[in-house]
Amino acid sequence: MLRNILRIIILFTAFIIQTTFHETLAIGQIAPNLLLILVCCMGFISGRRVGIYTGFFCGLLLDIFFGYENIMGLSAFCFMYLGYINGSYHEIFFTDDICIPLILTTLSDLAYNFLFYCATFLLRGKLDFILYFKKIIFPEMIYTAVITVLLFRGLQVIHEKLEKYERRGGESRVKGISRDYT
Amino acid sequence: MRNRAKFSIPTKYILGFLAILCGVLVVLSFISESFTSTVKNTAAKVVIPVQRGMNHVGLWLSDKAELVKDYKQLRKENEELKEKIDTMQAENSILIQQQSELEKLRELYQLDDIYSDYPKVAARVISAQPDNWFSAFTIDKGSEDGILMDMNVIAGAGLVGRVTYVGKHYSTVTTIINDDSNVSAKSASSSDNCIVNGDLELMDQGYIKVSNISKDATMQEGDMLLTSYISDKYVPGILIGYISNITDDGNKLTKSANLLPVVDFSQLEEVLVITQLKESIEEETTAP
Repeated sequence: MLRNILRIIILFTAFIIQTTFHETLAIGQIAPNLLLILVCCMGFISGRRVGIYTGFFCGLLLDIFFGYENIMGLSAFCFMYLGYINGSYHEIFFTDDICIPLILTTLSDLAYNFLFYCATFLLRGKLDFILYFKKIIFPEMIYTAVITVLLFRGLQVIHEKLEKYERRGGESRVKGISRDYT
Repeated sequence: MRNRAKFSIPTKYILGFLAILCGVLVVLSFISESFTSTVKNTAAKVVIPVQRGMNHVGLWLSDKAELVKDYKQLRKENEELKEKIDTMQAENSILIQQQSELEKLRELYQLDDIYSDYPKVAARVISAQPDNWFSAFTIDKGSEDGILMDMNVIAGAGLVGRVTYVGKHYSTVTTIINDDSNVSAKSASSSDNCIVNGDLELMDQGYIKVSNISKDATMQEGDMLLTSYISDKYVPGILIGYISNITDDGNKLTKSANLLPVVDFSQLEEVLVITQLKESIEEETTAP
């Protein structure tokens, strides 16, 4: 429960920062995709289920306020699958090593931006993918990767603290809950 | 939590269910406007006040940063500005004389000055589009403050964009530098018509693309571009920017150019919404 509340608060804060401080965050008009980083990292740390839920929540928030042509559901769909895919690697690779989540998040950013380009630019006849790759996708990938290093460490610290807390205080509570069930 | 995890639904089904839900949402947002607006307004009740608060924090911070600015620089700026005021006052008095002359001439020609004074409402920018592809922002006024779809938005002296979504207490403004927005424009000096397209390629150089200038047009570099009468969304006579770098197109029929907008789109804090729609102007002028 505590975990879920914390997750919602973190995601909501990221959304607010992303939308209100976009210009401040941006270097050369390119801002990192904070929400995508969080969805990928949370999925990687906590598994598929969390990835799906956080992805859906984030995507829906984006759709509601800045959906392309006011269509809801598209980013929610993309983010949900990104969360799911990143979550799938949780069981295979999970270590303290930052390399794998870094690569995963960067690739996710590439994939998301590629899909975004296809849906919004390619279909309007803007075919010059190389140019958009150079101008937007690649800088965003690099910037996103840099921010991922910081955010992933932060999330990991929170995750460990919570785990300790649950192990310490959880035992007595678990007993209480199981008594209620029986 | 761990006890209950045993009985929980497999992730596959959750994923499938949510994917279908996304599909339903997409379809619903095409079919039913009332559904989307209900969802958006409900979400806005939580998000908009927080964004407003954050905006105040941001403004406060930038205020403090300004205070630290070097006093010498400020004093120098002040002197320069005073000089500017003197010259401008002189210019202004000439302009006032010309204005009265213009009004007399207008009366003589029985021209309505339809574009001189549009009613405006000030609004504050509270959040910006989070991705790097498009350029839109939300303002803190919505349908309850009298904002309607397609109202034009200006800042300082120039055109910013138009309202593309209206919520109860917020609305979304799509800017003219946005890659998929088009504005019909005319040159102030030669009245040549052209189209101003937002373009991502030129965006970071601070330019917008201008296309469909007739090959016989006498447009020159440095000419002012205004919104034209032809446009069905934009009210006429609003300054967009200045022409530069005119080139011939390959088809030998049209020319294209770059446009330097008068508005600095990265520094928008407050904007003015013109509360008169183009349609209502047309009705007024065509009515007998």
